[in-house]
Amino acid sequence: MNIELELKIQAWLDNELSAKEAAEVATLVATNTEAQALAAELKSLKISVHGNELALTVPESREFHWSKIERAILQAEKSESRAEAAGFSPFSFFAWARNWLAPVAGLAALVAVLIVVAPSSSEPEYSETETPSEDVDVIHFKDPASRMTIIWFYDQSGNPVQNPGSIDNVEKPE
Amino acid sequence: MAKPLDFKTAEDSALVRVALRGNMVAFEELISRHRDKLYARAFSMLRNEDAALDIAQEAWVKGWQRLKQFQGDAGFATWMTRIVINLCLDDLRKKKRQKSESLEELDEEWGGAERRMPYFTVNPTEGLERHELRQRIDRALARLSEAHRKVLVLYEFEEMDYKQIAKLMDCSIGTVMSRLFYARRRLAALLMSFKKERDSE
Amino acid sequence: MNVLIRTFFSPLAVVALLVLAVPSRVLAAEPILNVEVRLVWGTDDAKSPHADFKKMDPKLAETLRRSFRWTEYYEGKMQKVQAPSETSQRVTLADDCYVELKNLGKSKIEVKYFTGTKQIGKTVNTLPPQNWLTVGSVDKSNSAKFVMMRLVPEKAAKKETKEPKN
Repeated sequence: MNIELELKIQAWLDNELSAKEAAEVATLVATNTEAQALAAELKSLKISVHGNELALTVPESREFHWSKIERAILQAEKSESRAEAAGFSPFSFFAWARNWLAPVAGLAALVAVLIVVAPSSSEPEYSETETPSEDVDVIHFKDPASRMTIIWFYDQSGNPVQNPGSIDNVEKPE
Repeated sequence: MAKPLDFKTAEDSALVRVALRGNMVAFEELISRHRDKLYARAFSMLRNEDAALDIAQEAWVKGWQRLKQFQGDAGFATWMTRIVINLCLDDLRKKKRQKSESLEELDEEWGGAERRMPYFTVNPTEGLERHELRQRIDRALARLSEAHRKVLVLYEFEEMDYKQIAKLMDCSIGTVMSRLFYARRRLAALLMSFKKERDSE
Repeated sequence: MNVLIRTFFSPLAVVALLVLAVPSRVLAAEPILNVEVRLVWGTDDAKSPHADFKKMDPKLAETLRRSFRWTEYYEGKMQKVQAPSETSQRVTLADDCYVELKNLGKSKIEVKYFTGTKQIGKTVNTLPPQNWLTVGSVDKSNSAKFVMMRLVPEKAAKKETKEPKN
């Protein structure tokens, strides 16, 4: 059978033919054993495959997955607003100072006072992370159930941050 | 007084409306409902766990940014999987640019060994449990060429028609038809070889 | 100009500057923190990728599986170190990986994370007893190594001070 006919039989099974063409192919399949064999193969394959994608689950916890997405969203919004603000108003610095510095200073004061006043037996949770390079960003993630805080550095350009140790240079136990 | 929306039981459309007002908790609920499906679709296309995770994450960020464009004609999950598909295709295009043309690409449209293969009279997946069937199909998909896999995923999992696939892949309907045909024949041959392997054990 | 003056001399800003100027030693309480540090290898390989990395305690591995995508976790030799408040204590984990630890008092620990000679980042966190602090970086390959730290459980710390090593 030639390829044109083979493709027609496939299109017939996929409901992609006009009523007239479909009737022609149906007649062919009913009368030609080779066409019948191909139609049977394609049909059983279609039934097996359709909708049977492997059911995978994201290999990360819901919280960790969301923390990465949330961070990426906020970062995108931040750089968007930074781009919008850049170079417009000559008074932008003053506006920035008025809008941000005073509240930040106030917040810093509040945090500092809390640190001094709070009883030492139950220290407030604290986490602050710096990266010396602008290209490196950080995900901070806390899993209270396992009592674990994760600080994960990543390269904004999508490249891996150089990772600790290679297979051959792990320090030998003493 | 209006009852507050219970995120756990609310419909997707209601969560989208709340998320449109900037509520990220509602958006996180949408993610938790559909994240596995999006990741699975990205994995089907890319066959790489890390790349699929990255693309799924990028899709969610884009979803949030473009939420205003969601018309609600199709379901939210369908809308999101289209974003994933587009990102996967972009990613594959970028990678393809780095590769040279190969004989394999000719086979994708003109058929290789599949052209001379007899038609199978036995169903290679007959009697398999659903889980096993899915695993076999996934194993076979992994061994298809990129172009064959793309067209099969778009047709069988994403449920697009020939015209939609042609538009998305920027090729003619004829090309879609021949790629889909040879992809199916190759898949049938792979499934048959897995069956023989299993039967001989 | 008024805006500037208002901003920089707002009462809140002044309070903040004064409080932040308090020397850090006033805030510090314990002079030394006993910390256990280990390098962990996350991978999908069922076999250890290196002879010095042993299969991790299943409970702890399960905890890591909640957050990370790898299925298997192997740990290098665990080191017990003291993080002083005066200076940073360097802990070498591999030829090109080390951390520097410093006790900032009030259960806060500063961790500087280095690969090669490059400092990847610095993080300050509260580290309550029985809590883990994990610091690492993205690796596009199928595995990654990262550093896990926690305070040495009190009993173990006391035992070690009473029974000096032979």
